[in-house]
Amino acid sequence: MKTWPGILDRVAFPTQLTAQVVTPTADPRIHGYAVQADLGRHADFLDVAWLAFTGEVPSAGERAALSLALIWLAPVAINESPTHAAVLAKVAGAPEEVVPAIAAVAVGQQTAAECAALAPLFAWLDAGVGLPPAAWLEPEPTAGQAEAWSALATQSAHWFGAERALPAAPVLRRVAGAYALLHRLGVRDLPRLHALSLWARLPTILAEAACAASGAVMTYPAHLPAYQYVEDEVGA
Amino acid sequence: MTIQTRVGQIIEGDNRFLGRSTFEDWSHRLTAPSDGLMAALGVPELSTQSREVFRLLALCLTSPDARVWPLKLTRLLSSHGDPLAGYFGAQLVSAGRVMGPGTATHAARGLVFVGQQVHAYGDSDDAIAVAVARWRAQAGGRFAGFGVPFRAEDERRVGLLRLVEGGPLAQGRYWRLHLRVVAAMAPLQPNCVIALTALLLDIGVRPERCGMAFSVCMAHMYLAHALESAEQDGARLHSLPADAVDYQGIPARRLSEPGAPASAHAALQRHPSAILEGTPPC
Repeated sequence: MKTWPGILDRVAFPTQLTAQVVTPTADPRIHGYAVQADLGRHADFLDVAWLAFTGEVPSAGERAALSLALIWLAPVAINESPTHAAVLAKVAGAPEEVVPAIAAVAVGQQTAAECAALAPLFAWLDAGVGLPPAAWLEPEPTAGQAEAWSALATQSAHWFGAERALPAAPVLRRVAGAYALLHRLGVRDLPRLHALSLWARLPTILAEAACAASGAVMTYPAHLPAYQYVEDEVGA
Repeated sequence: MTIQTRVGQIIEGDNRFLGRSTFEDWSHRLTAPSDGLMAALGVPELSTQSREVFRLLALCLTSPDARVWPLKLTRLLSSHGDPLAGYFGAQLVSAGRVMGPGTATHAARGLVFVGQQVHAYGDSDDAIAVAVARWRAQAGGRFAGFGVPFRAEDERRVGLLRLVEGGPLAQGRYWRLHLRVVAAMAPLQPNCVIALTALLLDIGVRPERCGMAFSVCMAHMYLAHALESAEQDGARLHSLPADAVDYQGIPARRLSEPGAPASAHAALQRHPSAILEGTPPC
């Protein structure tokens, strides 16, 4: 065999991977807490997830607010692109091991678009004056939605203090309300917004995909939405 | 609700693709797989010149070292035995705008901007320098396609210059413009991205599609690494030894320690398992 001296051979790179969250030990530690000996006995998964993202287990208020935000983000119906994509992947014959990856790509695209569109809402939350952007208001809230928002607003005063409480009116859309809670919790950076959005949404997406039969192309509505192939006239 | 598409359709006895019959038209036009890629990218004419540009792209973007980060990622994702996972999974990295193919779109926009400025204000060296400065000012100080890590000059651009020099591609508007932009950017070293992007613009690839053009022309490297890793890398990549990790995070601690944060105590107060065990959480 013949070998060559490469350009990258003469570059001094680190010799180890750097870890900030998990220790590669027999009983791994997450931000210092042993998983089996400590967290597994004294915490639950929501605590561990918040610990992973923030370095500390949540307070009672943080925990309740996080739980509500994730619940409000959780439903992704099949008419929304992430679940549609995951189900379509199954229909198209994707093996189970790649369906979550396809769903994650779609959720990432959706979350990026949401975060860009939510910028005015985040600015409103920071400013703390005026009304929320109209685009994120629930146009005709049902009684259940109004009641849920009212409860959230009341609870937010306990979680974040009266000054940072979310207003009882108008009613925000579900997704906007969830992101508003994350914002109040201090989750304002894209890596953690993406992580929490993905974590919240994957269960419903993958559950829907799990119900789809692999390769069952004739059960899928190929004309939804309809596509029409057109050709421009030559010389047009 | 109906979405119009100009890409293609399966019809009785034939397939239509980008306005042409597959078996009566494309069968004569497509002389290599790369022709189909060029057509998809919107290259207006599949000519000797455009084929040479794509050949040069594939050639000059061949930086196949296994330690190049996206290629290492390809090997990681393929190491359980499925080359498709690595081949397609790793190429999502190409969506980035700071490194890799995504920089081509940014470089193309810079060249187009300078070209428009020169068209409006004249093409003296000073005008080029002003246009370059304006672009850098609105692009966060950067002009994509410049900067050469680990070596004095980019061997890919050097090779490309040699291959283009004296031929018809050297007459292209953006090729000539890129040489003047390089002069205006001195002493910052150009890399192959700025030169290859100029060639793409000269054959009619839209600036926003230049990154994709780079991606498809780099696919052979991903493919080779994906296939090899799937066949051989295996356990050597699945789990590196623990001493390969430098943990720099929070030192060991316990939830029940007196020094644990107040929030931890609050969470524990409510935890059912602590109540069921009958042991105080703190």
